[in-house]
Amino acid sequence: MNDQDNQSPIAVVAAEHPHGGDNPLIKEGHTFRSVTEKVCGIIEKKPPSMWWVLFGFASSGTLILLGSLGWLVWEGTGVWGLNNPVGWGWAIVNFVFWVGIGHAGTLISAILFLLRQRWRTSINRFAEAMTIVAVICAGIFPGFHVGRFWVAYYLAPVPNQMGVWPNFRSPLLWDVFAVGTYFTVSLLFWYVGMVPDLATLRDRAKTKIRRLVFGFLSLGWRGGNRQWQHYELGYLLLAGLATPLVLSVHSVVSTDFATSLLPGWHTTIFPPYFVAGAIFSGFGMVLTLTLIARKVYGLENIITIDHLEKMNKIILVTGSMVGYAYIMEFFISWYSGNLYEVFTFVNRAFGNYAWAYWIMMACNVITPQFFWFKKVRRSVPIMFVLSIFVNIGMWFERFVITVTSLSRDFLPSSWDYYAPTLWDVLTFVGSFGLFFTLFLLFLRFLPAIAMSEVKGVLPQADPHYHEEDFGSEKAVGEGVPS
Amino acid sequence: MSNNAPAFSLPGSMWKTIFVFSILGLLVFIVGLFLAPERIWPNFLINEFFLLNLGLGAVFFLAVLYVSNAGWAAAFRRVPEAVTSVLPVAGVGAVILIFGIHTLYEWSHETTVMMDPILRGKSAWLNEPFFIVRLALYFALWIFFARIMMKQSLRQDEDGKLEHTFKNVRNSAIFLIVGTITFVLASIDMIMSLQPHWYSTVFSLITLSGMITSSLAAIIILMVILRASGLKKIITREHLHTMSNLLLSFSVFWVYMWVSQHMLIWYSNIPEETSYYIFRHFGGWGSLSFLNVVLNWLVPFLALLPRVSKRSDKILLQVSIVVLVGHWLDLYIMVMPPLMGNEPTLGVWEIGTFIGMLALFFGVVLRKLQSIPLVPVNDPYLVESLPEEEHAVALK
Repeated sequence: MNDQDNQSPIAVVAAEHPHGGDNPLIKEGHTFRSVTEKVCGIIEKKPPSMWWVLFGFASSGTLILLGSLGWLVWEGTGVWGLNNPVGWGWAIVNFVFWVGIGHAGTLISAILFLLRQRWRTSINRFAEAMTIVAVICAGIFPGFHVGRFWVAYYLAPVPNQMGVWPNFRSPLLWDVFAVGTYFTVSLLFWYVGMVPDLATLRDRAKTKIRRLVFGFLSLGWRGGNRQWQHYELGYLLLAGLATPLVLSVHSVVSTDFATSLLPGWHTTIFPPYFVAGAIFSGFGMVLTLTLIARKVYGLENIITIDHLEKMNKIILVTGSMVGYAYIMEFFISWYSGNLYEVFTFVNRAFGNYAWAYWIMMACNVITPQFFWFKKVRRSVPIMFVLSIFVNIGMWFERFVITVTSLSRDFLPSSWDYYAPTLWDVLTFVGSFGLFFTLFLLFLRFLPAIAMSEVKGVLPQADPHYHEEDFGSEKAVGEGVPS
Repeated sequence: MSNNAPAFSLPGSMWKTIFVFSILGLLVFIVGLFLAPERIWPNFLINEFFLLNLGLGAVFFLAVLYVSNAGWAAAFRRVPEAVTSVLPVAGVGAVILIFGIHTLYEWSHETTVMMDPILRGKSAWLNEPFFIVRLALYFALWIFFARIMMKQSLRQDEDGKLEHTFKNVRNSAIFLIVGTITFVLASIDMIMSLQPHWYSTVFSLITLSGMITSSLAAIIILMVILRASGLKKIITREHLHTMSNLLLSFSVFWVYMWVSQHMLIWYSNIPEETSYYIFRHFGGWGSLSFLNVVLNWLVPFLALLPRVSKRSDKILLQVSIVVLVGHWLDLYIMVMPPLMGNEPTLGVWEIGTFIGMLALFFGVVLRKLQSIPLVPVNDPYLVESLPEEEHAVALK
């Protein structure tokens, strides 16, 4: 090889970045031990005062939720702002909003796992926790909207004395199955992934209760070779099962609207468009939570700016897909030559609810475009603000879809303007309370970072890492995961 | 710097076969113009759109590789790059297509449009001059992006500068936006407007997913050919494995889009929309629609799930051929029913033009592969794409 070849970019890049130009996933200085200390420390030490402040707010929110739901049950769904053409208001908006939020977790954990994206390891655990919590929040709304929530189990195909069977042709029933399956698989996936970390916590436990609880939850995990083999196969299979579910849940949710005859609801692009929107909103929320947790617990070296940048790229891609769907719907409504289609979309943009439409457009179409710039993708304050805008925009998207189409139906005599009541607002605000309460409890009591997986992407995990000083004291000290 | 990567050459007999089939296809088209113009034009459209799909799909593939900093495919990147070289040929096809507008598109007849209020409403978009201008614009943009990306890649072979990669990342990002918008509109213009009253928002995503699936299948076939001609060290089993994962994913994506359109139109049962499936649901068309899903989804899905088949040249070749035939069928079902009536017909006009188009495709691409260095030796990601020894062999 001559000198010229030595100067080739391959040699330069290969020497500087063994992974083809990527920065290391975990910032330097971390060892197996320090990762364990950092992550377990969150649970073992007293929570920072900021945790108590946030928990105070969140649990107050939960009380608001319980109060407003109690009043709803006592008085009836009339306390909500629904009227005659708008029979679906904030309840369905909030349901779709929360289910959408619940998409990022399993996307990160299952799809990125199948795509061998190793950067997922730092964020997958609490993205999954967020998914589960969000789906719980979502379930509240249809559950209570049925009016008598104590007979909500009729939704499941259980025999009952009245001979009432669910209508299998109804997308609302498909929803029950889709969301139910998604929740079950996400929960299993989350739990299976956590078993090795729970065993670590068990082994470090200083109190009896901890030892008992973590011992029970870690299912007798000893970290043996065979256990790891079974575990990895099981994890892979669950990832394979969860992947189609990420796509199917929101596709089914979209059919709640798209199987109808209503202009603005019935359009064939709805399934992929809803999925893209769900991932977009889910990543928005994961980003918001990540940035807070990272700051509160000082996890900057594990969740690095590179992780955040990659998430921002996904927000850019999915946000652009959502923008594409908006524009496509508009174009085809004109192209269709169908009077009602044209009216619906013009009404969305310039009618009674134009304010909501333009909030949606600004937040969902324009906001993600800032992530074209590397500086923005790597600036924590800016991305925090943008992630909030994404959350707002995606809530408004569901509002625009649901309400604009209903409030202007085929009979102008029945047109009406929908406005939420105080109880609508309190229930929604309260659902955020529940969301944050459960999430903060997760941060407090369960390993928020997948320790065993993060250790797998450390340079020390490379089988050749210790070759140079094999047998030395250092190798023995660092090579054994604690 | 000289490129010491192994070269590729096809035996002369193969060239002859390819040449004979392309000429046959051309002859079928020319004879068809005189004997059966109503049937040859739709067939021309199918094959023109197919060829464009293969070329443009490769540009999308390259662009996604660049923007995602994917390193795994660097070693065989010249294959998709060579595939993009059919775009100018498809561009020539688009010029020929202009002469078939009146046979193909109902909206191009002014008297029909005058009597039809819905078509009158669309005439701002669907009219002959604007259609031609758009077609020209689409192809100009596609060929432009394919060329500049290829140029940067080849220049890196010469001077080994990293900036070519960075420039291509930028080109790719712009292309992904421009390419998506133009292809989506082109699908509406060239295919959806064959039934100008009908509309579906997800239609362009069906064609988009079909485009990428078929293009991946063609790239896999070329990779298998190159491997068979002694390039197994450059195009490894790992590459095949990842490519077949992609093929599997995109075939699932295609069926997802297909079901989205089909299920929602069936369920809502609105006459304006069912007009599309009324043609395609009964009799021979119904059986073909079923076969379409089998070829484009069921076969690749079942065949490519096991790990063994993803690493087998033979199985991959077979599945890819099935997918290419499936893609032709998909387009055939999209194009033919409104033009050719109640029952599908398969004859020399269909088979001859399809084989001719495929021969033309492989001829152009294989010729390109012979004329450019087969390995982008200075690509910074090559080290990720090839195990060290082969990497050294390529560099010499």
